[in-house]
Amino acid sequence: MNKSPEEYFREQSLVPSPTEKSGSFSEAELAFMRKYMGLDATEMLHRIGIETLQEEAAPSPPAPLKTEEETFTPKSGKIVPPGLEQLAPTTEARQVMTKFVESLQSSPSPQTGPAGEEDVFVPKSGKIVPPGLEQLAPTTEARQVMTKFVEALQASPAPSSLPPIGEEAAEPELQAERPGTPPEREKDAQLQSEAAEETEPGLSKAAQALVEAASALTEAASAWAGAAEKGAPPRLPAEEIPPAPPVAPEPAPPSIPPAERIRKEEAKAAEAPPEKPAPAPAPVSPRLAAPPPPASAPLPSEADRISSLRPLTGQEEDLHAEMSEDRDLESIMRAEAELQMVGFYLGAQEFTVPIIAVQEVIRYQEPAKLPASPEFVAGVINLRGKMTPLVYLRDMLEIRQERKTDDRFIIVCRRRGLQFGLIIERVHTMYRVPQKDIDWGIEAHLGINVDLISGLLKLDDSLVAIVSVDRVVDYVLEK
Amino acid sequence: MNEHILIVDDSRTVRNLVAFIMKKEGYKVTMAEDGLDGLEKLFSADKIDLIISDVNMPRMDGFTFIKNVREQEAYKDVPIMVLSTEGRPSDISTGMQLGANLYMVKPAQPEKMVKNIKMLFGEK
Repeated sequence: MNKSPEEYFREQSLVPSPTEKSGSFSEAELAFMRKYMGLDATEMLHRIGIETLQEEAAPSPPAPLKTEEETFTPKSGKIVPPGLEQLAPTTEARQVMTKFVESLQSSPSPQTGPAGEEDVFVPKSGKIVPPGLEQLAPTTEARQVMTKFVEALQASPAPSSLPPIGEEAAEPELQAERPGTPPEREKDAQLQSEAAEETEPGLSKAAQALVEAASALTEAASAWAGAAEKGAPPRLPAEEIPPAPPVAPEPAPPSIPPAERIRKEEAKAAEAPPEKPAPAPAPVSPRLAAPPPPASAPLPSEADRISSLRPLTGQEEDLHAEMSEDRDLESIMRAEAELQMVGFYLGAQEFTVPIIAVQEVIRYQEPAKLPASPEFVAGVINLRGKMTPLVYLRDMLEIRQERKTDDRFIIVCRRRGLQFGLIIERVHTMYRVPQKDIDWGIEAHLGINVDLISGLLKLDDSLVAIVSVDRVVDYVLEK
Repeated sequence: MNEHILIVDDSRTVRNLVAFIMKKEGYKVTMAEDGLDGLEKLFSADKIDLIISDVNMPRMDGFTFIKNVREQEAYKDVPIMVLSTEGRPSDISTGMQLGANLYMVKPAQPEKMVKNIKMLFGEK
């Protein structure tokens, strides 16, 4: 029942922010990891509770198939299942199918068709087994759904025979009478006004089957992911995705990982008509088509490996903080009429940092030590899911005075995408100082490392140094 | 009477309500919106005689604030009352270990609050 203050603070800092979203490591974070963690980065992050995902650096060829007949062969290099381009570009279905056909595309094809032929794939035999599928359990829904999907593709006519979907959407049998028929147009317009997930009446049966199969595939993949979390298929990592708030439709930027985009689409789909069940988190369907890498693939370099790491949990970027993060801190400070500074003690000496660089002040936590790191790097902690290096400001400023107190605090700052902590002895207070009380040109030597000091604060009859947070980051990443 | 109370809470509603109750009793009130602001007020305002602090606040939470206050020579003995929604025994224990004198859980009755404040001043 009784908890020590240290345990309390540790628990508090591990509680993830409710608005967390998955993201990627920033350049500064990657630079820190390369410099101080090296090959052990994944393990070190795991030790502090940050799970990472290693993205595959290059597309891997599929595993060899059982027999030659049990394969499908694309006739040309480009595979576009009929009807796919007519689906909305941001639907899950299209993303799932795009991933699936990309994996089909990368599979070895014993025969390739001449250029210029229609972009469909034609299975060589009646039995279709997409690469990687046989690695799934034969009774999983996913395999059944994908089999149904390729059968629908097999049964679909060539793209040129399909009518375009949209204003002129119609069944193939109605094609002859449709153009210019007002009742048909009204019917189409009415049906088109329904929810985006529902199939339009103008889709051909094959395309409808595609859409249904894709939806079923997504659901099955989600159900399969649920089974995966219980330990059934061992290959895929279980992803803990917090429920995302519904977002307005937006073009997905290329930097967002597919899982993130799909998660956003799921949040949108959760608002869809009731007949569609709410999709479960962690769609692993993009990975269903990804076959295991072959043993002969070359190992990625250490730098590539670290660069391809992605955190499974991230944190929300405060827009205001992000805006001030990128600009040079000193230029921001010089432009302000009044500055708020946080005063703290190192030994008997007081220092300050500007409040705009301070994210929060927390109680000291024991960091995970980094091997072969300089003395001023204390280690890393997990602060609400974000890797946070801690530095001894005392060592960086080369302060020789004795510590007044062992009790320590951490001033958490965030600059250039790196969240880090300055270990200090105690916070004194917060000052509001007019610009005129700040001296930016430091000529006098203060007896400490002047490189890390950006200015002096005139407080009553004393001078207090302003620590340059930007230069602290540079010092940590470059020295 | 006329003691100076510092109210530290990130909710403006709570600050105003507690300030209203304290002013009615004749106390002087200063408000702060989080721990860092509270530290600022401690050293910029007139001497503070009692602190009422919330726990969950941005930038610097209540427990970190209390710990820092106890580090200050001028305020190492100032009476501190925690007023928080966090009412688990572990939270209360942490607060008391860090140096709070009293722990009240929200929602708190104004009469009980005033009674506790008077008791803390009486102990001084």
